[in-house]
Amino acid sequence: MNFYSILWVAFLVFSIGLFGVLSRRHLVGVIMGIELMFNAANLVLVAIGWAYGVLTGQIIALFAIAITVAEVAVGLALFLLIERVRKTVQADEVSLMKG
Amino acid sequence: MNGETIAFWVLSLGLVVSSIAVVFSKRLLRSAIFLALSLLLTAFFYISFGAELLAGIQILLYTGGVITLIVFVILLTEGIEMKKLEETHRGIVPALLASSLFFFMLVYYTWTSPKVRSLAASTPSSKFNVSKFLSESLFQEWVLPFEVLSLLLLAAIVGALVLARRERKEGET
Repeated sequence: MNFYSILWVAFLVFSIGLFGVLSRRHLVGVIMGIELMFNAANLVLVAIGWAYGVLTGQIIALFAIAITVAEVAVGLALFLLIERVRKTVQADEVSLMKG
Repeated sequence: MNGETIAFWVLSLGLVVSSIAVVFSKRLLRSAIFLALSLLLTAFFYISFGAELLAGIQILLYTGGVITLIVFVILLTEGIEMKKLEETHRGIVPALLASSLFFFMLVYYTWTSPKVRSLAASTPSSKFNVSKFLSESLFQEWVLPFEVLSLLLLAAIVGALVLARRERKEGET
């Protein structure tokens, strides 16, 4: 297992998630793209901890997983609120803050 | 080409293909299932890095918790989703440009960075009893972030409840 190949697989997954965030129209699709990006970041953290031979990478990844789960819960609650108040599920129709 | 390398490439291929399927599939439910698959494959990556505890937590929290939550939300809003979602993506070309630019930037940086090069040259450490050291370090060195995290989780619970609650009209019980 080469360190570079691990990093590049994680970067590739991160970029795929970024593409999903930028291009998906459904809000849940955007949240799933954010999930992919978080996942790739955790993978890089664990890989760097493994390469250094320290545990800190795993601990930070543990905290990141917990924060991600909280973020998804709040994000999905926001999605339900938007769907109920504005009667839309599409990211490009929620443009109140766009000047 | 030993077994570990083959397993690594098979896992990587599965991870990338399922991530692409998450982003491109037309139906959201299918997309959520592929997201579960890619999170599961990441857990196998964690096992190969000697992070068995993290892999278990990943499977429990992500493929158990988050995917269930996402599937529930998709099913709750299925009626709205069904109409006029023939066009599931918008602005594919600029998004593709931006994300591939980002990818090549990351690859360029790690390829030219001397620190990453020296890290890649060093042999990875031998295995030790990770779960024991992890819990010791978590409750001694990292105890303050741990407690702050519990506060964050509490705030997230309250926030999600307040946001998703239906407003009760006057006179309704």
